[in-house]
Amino acid sequence: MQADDLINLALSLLTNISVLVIISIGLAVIFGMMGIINLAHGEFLMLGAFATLTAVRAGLNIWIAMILAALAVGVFGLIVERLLIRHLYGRLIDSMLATWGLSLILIQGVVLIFGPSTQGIRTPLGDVRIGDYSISQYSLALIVAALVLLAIVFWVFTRTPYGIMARASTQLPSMASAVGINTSRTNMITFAFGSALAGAGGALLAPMAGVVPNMGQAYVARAFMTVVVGGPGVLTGTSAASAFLGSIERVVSSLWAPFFGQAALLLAAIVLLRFMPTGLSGRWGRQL
Amino acid sequence: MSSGTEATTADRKSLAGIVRRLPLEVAGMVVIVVVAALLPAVVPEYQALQWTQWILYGLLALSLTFVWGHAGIFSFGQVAFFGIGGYTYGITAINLINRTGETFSAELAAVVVAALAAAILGYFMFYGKVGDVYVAIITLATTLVLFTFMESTAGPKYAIGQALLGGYNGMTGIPTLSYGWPGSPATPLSVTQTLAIVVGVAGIIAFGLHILLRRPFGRIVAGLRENEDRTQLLGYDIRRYRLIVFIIGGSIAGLAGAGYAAWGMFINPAVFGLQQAALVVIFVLVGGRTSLLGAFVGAILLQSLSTSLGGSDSVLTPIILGGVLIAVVMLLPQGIVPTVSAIAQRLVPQLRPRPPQLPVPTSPPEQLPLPTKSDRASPQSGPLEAIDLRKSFGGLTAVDGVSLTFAPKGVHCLIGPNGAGKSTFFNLLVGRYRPTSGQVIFSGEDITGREPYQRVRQGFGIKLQVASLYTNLTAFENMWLASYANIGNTKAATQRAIEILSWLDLIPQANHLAGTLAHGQRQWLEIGMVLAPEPVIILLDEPTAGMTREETLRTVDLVTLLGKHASVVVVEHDIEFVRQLNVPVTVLHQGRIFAQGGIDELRRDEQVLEIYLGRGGDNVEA
Amino acid sequence: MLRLDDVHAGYGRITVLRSFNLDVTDGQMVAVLGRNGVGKTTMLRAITGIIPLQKGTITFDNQDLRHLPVHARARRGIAYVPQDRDIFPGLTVLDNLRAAAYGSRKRGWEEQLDALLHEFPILAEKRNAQGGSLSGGQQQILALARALMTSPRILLLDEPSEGIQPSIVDQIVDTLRAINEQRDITILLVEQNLDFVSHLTSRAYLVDKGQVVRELPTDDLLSDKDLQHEYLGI
Repeated sequence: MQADDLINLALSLLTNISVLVIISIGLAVIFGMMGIINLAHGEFLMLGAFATLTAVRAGLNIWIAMILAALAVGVFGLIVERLLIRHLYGRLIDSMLATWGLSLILIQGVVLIFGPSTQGIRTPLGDVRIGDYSISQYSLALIVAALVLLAIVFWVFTRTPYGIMARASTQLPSMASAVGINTSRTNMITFAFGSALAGAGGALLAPMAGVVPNMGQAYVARAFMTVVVGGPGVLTGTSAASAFLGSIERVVSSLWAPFFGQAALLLAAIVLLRFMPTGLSGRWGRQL
Repeated sequence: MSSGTEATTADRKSLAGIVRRLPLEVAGMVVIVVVAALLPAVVPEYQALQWTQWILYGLLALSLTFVWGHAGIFSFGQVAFFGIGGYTYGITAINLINRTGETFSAELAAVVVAALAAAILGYFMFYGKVGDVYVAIITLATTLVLFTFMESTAGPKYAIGQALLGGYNGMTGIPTLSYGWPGSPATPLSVTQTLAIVVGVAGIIAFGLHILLRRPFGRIVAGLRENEDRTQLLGYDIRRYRLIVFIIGGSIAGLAGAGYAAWGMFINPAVFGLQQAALVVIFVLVGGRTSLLGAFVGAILLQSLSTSLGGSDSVLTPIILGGVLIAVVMLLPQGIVPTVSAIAQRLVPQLRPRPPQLPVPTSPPEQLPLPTKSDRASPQSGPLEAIDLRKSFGGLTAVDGVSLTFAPKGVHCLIGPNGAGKSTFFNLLVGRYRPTSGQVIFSGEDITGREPYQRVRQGFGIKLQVASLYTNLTAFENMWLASYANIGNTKAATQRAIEILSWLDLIPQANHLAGTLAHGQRQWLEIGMVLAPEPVIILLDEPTAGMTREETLRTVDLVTLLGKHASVVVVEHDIEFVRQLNVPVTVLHQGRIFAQGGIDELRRDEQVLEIYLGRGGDNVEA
Repeated sequence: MLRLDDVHAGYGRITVLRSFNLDVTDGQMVAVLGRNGVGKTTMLRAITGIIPLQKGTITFDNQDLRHLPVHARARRGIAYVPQDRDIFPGLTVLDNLRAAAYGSRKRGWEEQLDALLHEFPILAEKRNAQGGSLSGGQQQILALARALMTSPRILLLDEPSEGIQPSIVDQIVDTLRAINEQRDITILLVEQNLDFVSHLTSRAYLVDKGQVVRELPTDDLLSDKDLQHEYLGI
């Protein structure tokens, strides 16, 4: 194999893994810290994409648009937590069902506002040549973005007061209250943070994928599997699972077809869960 | 217990009495079947077509109600089996119809393939001890895999025999339900005839499930749903029950799918999609999770709602569906049929189901429901021995070389201060922990490696510290499940359950939900359940925890009586209880036997007082 | 300062404490003694608010605690060191302390933190170690320091000497005495270890079957062997 073949393969693998990280990290925060399964996660991604679209159309720079979109979806998540999620802690199946209902409403709501057809944002960066290959710089940007998101999550949970309180609340809820932590409030912020990350994920996807109301559906299955295979460790689990599943998906896709890649990802997830039900990070006892 | 036996006999014979005793669901089923017979004469074609689809969705929902509402298996996979059934029907019918002239063989094939798929997936999950949430996830993933897979089968090379799979466009040209003979052309059923058959079959299946749920199988499945650990500890193989339920559910869904393909003469991968999977769950939630009738009510209600809003392509439909889902989860978690039922029963007392007639106990209450030696088929009732048991957790040694022999009859108490290792020792005897070294011998046989449920089958009665009952089942149903596990005969199990309840003085509470009993009564009920399989070794971990003084004293009598017939080992904290019991006591301290003797002499012992005050011996940690 | 009046509390339908009465004066060091299962831990959980009251009132600084959630009580100055220490296992020693600082929202917590690290060198030494990796005795000290981070007015301790090496137990005795005398923090000690209590508290409450059966000076209890046998032995 030539050097440029190797580089191309490595880069495309990394890009695939990065996409999984980007679409899953928000869901991982919510599931890992709160034990809530948000089936509207795909729609939070979608809202991030649409918010970016709207901001770009209004004339904003695309990167600024993405940041604003993430914040907007974060605020939206805060509202959802106060109205809906708050009543469903500890009720795992019920939270899945209620968020599922929310997702149906959101998809249709966006259809009503924006119409059902696909819209697009131009990919902001050009291409770069590596040997025989022409690689989209945007896919490299995605790799950087994934690392940035992971770094942000790390920083928030290890260096901020909120982060330390949130981790304490996850580990020992009563004791956290007994030292004065308002766990209800930290949960609210955690959901908002996870939503903002989902919004960021959608924003980052927008130039790459078509922005269409049901785009979330295409990603929710994979995000979901990544989070569950990852296990409770928000960073370690998401990274490990993304690497594992992303590689399998990419390899199978390039050998056969993209459809089979996704099927392979799902099958790999099923088999892994059967033998390691608590996920990759659950088995190795990593906390964050 | 039940008053006025004569009045009820007369009552039973009258038609009103019969109708009154039928629960709402059976009445509903009867109505359905009668309606099915009358339909061809009454319903116009257009409506018949629509109603057929609704009933088929209802049947799909029914499969989820059975699997989820009754067995507690939250499966997203029902649509997978629905789709598998549909595609199998399509493939088989297209290929065979010209040769056999009928499509019922295709229906059969659909059910068989769906059942097989359910068997494989079920085995994979349940025999792998996968927990609840992961069953949901794995079934969801399976559905999505099928979706992705079928979407990609477009093109002429994806065909089985003469049937083109069609990819995301779907499979067309599927024959509708037809009858005939091999060699002659098939005669398709008319639209109204199809409706009649679908309604009839659905009604029969629903009724069949209803009956199944009343039989022992159904009761065990209910127990499984209510409290998995307890069911296991009673000795039932829960994996097998789950698998059977899952296969039944898959077959029903497959049958519905076959009907669906025949109805529309078309099937596409959307049947495996997320929205379809969501719909089924919504049908079941709206109708009522445990209501068989509710499955159809939910399906029909929601389908007609979305039709009147302009069909499933309507702009408002998903919003309404989403809103309904949220509303039901937050406000009406029971669903429609149970709520309506409850309201109806409150308004019309005659509609309330009568509590089941329980037989009057034949043996007098003082007689102990434990066998004498001659009763047991295989009298394996030798002593229980612990030989130099040791248990360490990492660096900490909880039990440090304890050897004890428990006589075949009599009560023995284990006490000790904090960290003495009582609970650990108990768990070693019970089989929840494996010892680091040492053995547990029962009747001369080394049982050190046996699981708790195996020990139960050998004659152990185990009551753990944390109360574990079926809180949503009646006291009688609790006791019945405990008895049936060992006896295997419905009548005999009922008899035994009554015996034990009567001995515990719980007959007045027999038809009350276990969760509504006082704490002491719940503890006794559980002790009773422990007695049901006629154990020869009874192990009780803090039986008086949370009891009032009066309840504690009664428990003393109970345990003393038990000790006359079996070997009873009690771990306790409650010193009052131990004093009243007045039996041999072993005091553990830091994992070893510290003292043994009668409670009175131990009470006066200065050294024993010292260890309870925290002195004496080295403290373990740094 | 802290008063329990006719308190009934328990878990679900089980009532553990019945007509429980207790009165702790500001600045006191008081012991609550009794066998396992009599309700001592339940009492602490009821005071902190982790379990609700079935009946009766708990008053702190003349304020009825009934409607105050757990974290609000902590911010008012009730600090709790439970029987299992409940160190946040996935947080470092420093983060354990910081969590309490952030939760209780006290100003000047950085100085407080430094002072505590100075006072408990073992914590300074292990400042970046995961909470779950500490030994029992070290966790006990961390739990104590964490409670102090909230600048409490009253400290509730559940069997602080249990399962801990004698040398560290001595250290804890000295620390508690210093906390009570120098920082003027009231201390309520739940214990079974009479020795531990004898060096510290002035008054003792004996609990049996969910009720206070005797209240007396600690010294009187120490010399009354019969009482010890009756309520603390078997």
